[in-house]
Amino acid sequence: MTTPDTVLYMWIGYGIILGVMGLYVLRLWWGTRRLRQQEAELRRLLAEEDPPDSSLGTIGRG
Amino acid sequence: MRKPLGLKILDGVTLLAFAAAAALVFFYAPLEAQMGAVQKVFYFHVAAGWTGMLGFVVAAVTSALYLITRNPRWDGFSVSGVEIGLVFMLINIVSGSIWAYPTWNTWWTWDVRLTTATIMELIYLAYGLLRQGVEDLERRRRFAAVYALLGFVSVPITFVSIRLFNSIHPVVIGAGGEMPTMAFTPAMQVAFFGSLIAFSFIFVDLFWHRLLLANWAEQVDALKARFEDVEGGMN
Amino acid sequence: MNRGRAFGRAVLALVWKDLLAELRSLEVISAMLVFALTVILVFNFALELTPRLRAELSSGVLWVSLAFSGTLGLNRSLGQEKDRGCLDGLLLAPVDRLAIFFGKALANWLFMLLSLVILLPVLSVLYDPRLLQAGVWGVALLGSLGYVVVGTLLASMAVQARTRDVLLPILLFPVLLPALVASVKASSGFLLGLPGNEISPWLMVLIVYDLIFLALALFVFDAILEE
Repeated sequence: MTTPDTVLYMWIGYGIILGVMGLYVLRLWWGTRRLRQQEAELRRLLAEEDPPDSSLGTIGRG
Repeated sequence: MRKPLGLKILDGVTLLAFAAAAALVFFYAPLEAQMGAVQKVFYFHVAAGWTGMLGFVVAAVTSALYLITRNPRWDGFSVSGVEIGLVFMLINIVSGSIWAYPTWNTWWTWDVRLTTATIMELIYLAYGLLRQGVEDLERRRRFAAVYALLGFVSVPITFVSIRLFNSIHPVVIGAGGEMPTMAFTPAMQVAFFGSLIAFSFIFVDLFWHRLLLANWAEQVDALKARFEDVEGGMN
Repeated sequence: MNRGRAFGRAVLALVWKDLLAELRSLEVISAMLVFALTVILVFNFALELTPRLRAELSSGVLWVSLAFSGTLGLNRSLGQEKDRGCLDGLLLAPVDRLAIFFGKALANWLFMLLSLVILLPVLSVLYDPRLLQAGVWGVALLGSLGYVVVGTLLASMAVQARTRDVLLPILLFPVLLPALVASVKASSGFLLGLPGNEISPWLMVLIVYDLIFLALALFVFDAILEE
């Protein structure tokens, strides 16, 4: 019996397996990046609105 | 948030294990006579299915733990489990389809295993939609946990489906009786278990990353809530 | 013992309340019936059924139309409670949460069986006269039980969500599929007059499905009816 030539499908298969896994790693990286930006932005805004020495005393002061 | 040292080490180990498994699959395992090179997809196809089911199992267990303890940390575990499960079951289904084309001569058949696996994927996609649809954070966690438990029934069904019904899908784990089984040479077995081990590492590694992300997102949300409080106080 | 009787009385009171409300408005059952009939008609044209095919597909058509119209009924029955604030009132009442869940599920089961009482004869005229037999009724009883247990749980969550109208079918159908498949297989087994040993595995699947989800419901209903 001769072995059928299915190398193309093997590469498509592995391309998709690695591709989807790569996309997921990218998604994790992207999520991390977005959170880092959000956190930095929030900390900056909080520091502006609310000087660090009175972090609890703002409510009701305005 | 800094990456823990353990995770950095695990990243390295996982990459090594993955490379080793790929080497086993491509250079060590022999070519299968009837299916040819496409049979090599099998190793990562099964390993991805294993990883995906592992994700769903973790999600179900931690969902039950959430319902019992109401500790939000378990919700992070469930989300991470479901997300990784979804990704790897997708890999499993698509790679299976590609393997099927040259072997069964069709991309898709309505075989029990293929159908149950697809339903399982649909259930966990619905889990994501449910989370999106509920705004209140505490309620979202509760409902998601309930649905993860109800939906988990699909996981054992998928696993045993090929043993219960006449399926053209081969039985891989355990004796298949009269069902189609794969004839394994010892070298194939090494590549097979190597892939399983490598994907288990990948699972733990990705899960850890995803969990850190979930916990961090919670902190950022808390920060956002504090900011809105301050804003409210100013006006 | 006393607690058991109080529980039973609470469940019956809830079912009675739903039945009375339904008798006055016929909102749930009429919606279910009209929709089910529409689905049956759509099937007839969409599949271009010949008389033979129609007889072969009748159990599939029965269950699909029942499953689709059931989501309408569930959404309506639990949506009403939510919109009129009845759910909050019920939760404040000194009634066992489990009784609320069972009362609601039982009422939904009754609605479903009532619509079946009309639907099945109609379908037997339009599709296949063999549909009117004890076996099919038995399958309908078992299948609709599993349906309302899962459906009541999921609908109580869906009506509390922002995307409530689209959510229920998406949540329900994939979880329901084992019961749906078993119901179709078992009832078409009866239609084709297959021997009992070929039908009983599917009936077992239905019974196991019902038991599993009843048990799960006992574990999770509390988390859904909280607040």
